[in-house]
Amino acid sequence: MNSKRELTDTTARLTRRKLLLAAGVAGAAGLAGCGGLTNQTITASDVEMGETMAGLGFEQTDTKTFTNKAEREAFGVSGSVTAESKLTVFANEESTPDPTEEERWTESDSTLSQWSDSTPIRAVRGSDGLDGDIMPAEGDQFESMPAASTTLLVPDTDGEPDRVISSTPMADVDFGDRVSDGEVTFDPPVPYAEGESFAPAGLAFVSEDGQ
Amino acid sequence: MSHGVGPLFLTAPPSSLILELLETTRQESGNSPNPVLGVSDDTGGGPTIGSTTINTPSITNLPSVTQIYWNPLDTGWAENTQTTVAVFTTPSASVGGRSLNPLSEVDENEFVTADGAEYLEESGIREAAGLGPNLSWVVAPAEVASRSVTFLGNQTTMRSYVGYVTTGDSEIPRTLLINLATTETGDDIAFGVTVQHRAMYSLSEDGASAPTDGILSAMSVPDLVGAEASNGLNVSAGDDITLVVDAGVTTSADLAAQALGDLSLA
Repeated sequence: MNSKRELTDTTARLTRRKLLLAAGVAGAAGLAGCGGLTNQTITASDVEMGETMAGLGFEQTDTKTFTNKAEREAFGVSGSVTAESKLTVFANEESTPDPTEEERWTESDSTLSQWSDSTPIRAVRGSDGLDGDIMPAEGDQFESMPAASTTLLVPDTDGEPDRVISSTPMADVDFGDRVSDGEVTFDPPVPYAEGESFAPAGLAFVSEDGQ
Repeated sequence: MSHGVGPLFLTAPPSSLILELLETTRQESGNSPNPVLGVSDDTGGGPTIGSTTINTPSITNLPSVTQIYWNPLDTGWAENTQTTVAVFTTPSASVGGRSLNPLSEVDENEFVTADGAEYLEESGIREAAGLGPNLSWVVAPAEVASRSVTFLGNQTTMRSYVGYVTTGDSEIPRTLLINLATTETGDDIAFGVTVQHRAMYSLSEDGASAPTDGILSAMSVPDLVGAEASNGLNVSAGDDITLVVDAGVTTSADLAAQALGDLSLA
């Protein structure tokens, strides 16, 4: 047998066939080529972790043995080779869940000005500095607004023109008059933090048509 | 946990609402329509809030919009995403000093990037790493880094790959980061693989629809790699944005190198 050709053929098959089956067949073919064909089992080594991985929080979670047997006849003598491959798995602690939208919102370092030119507005709280670098406040809450009803909080500013956000095409726009104790006259009144506004980090707007 | 990237605005279609900041005085009751807002007389009545009345037009063909939060592969991603270390050992089946195991002919790149991720599947690594069934690439994997490591006592090259996959478990693609090193030890060929994966993005509300493949199909991993995650950009399909941060890959590779260096044959 031309073992070089056999190796080439087997390698080519690997792109089309199952990995482990290919491994077993190749082993059998190779041994057959040496004329020493017998019933053999070749077992891969086990693997273990040390203290460094333990210190990093890893634990062994699984081991599996994959057994593949290949039989072959050469020069009137038949035999088989069984290949045992091993998979050893370790894992550290589970992933931290993705933050909620509210967590992203309150932890955001983004300014409202970075966010307010997109739609729909899911929440707007803030002072008159809608286009300023105003940062979120820890513990602030937000409210979701329906896409079909863009609702903006537009605080009053003493002695200055109100700042208004308009939309094109026009959606429902509510004006809120600021009253005492950090509330505006939405119905029901919406509290907001004086001098603060915030926008969520990582927020993107994607239309369903994928643009 | 760092939430990384700031707002990413994917450009909305022409029919979508575009908000503008304007300066105006409050329109008192009876001052309708509001000239600044461009509301015409025939748009119908709107809500009355305090002393302010705003007329509103009927909204037709309002675009259905989904809001998503990218989960860029940054340092926070690497530190807060579970790492699975899988070691696959298989007999080298060598005869006369010649390796006859076809695995010796499989390079790291093929092991990760083969169509359908068949090697990850058949070696059991996909399942061991908690990736769902029917894994397929939606953004083709690519090598993003490499370094020399010790694996089972041998010096070898560890390569880092990033790609985006979907599985049968969710319609949301997952960012998949794989560090892979191979070596021959004794009579075995060994593949040391670390796997981390996390949803590519999360949706802002339950039941929201994921975006279609239009954006993802225009992405290429090399174009997504950068020093800092994109922040505050208007993004359209095909734009280059940074969702794979160099420091995040390095953080993952650091941990992988420590883990592989700590492994030994039993």
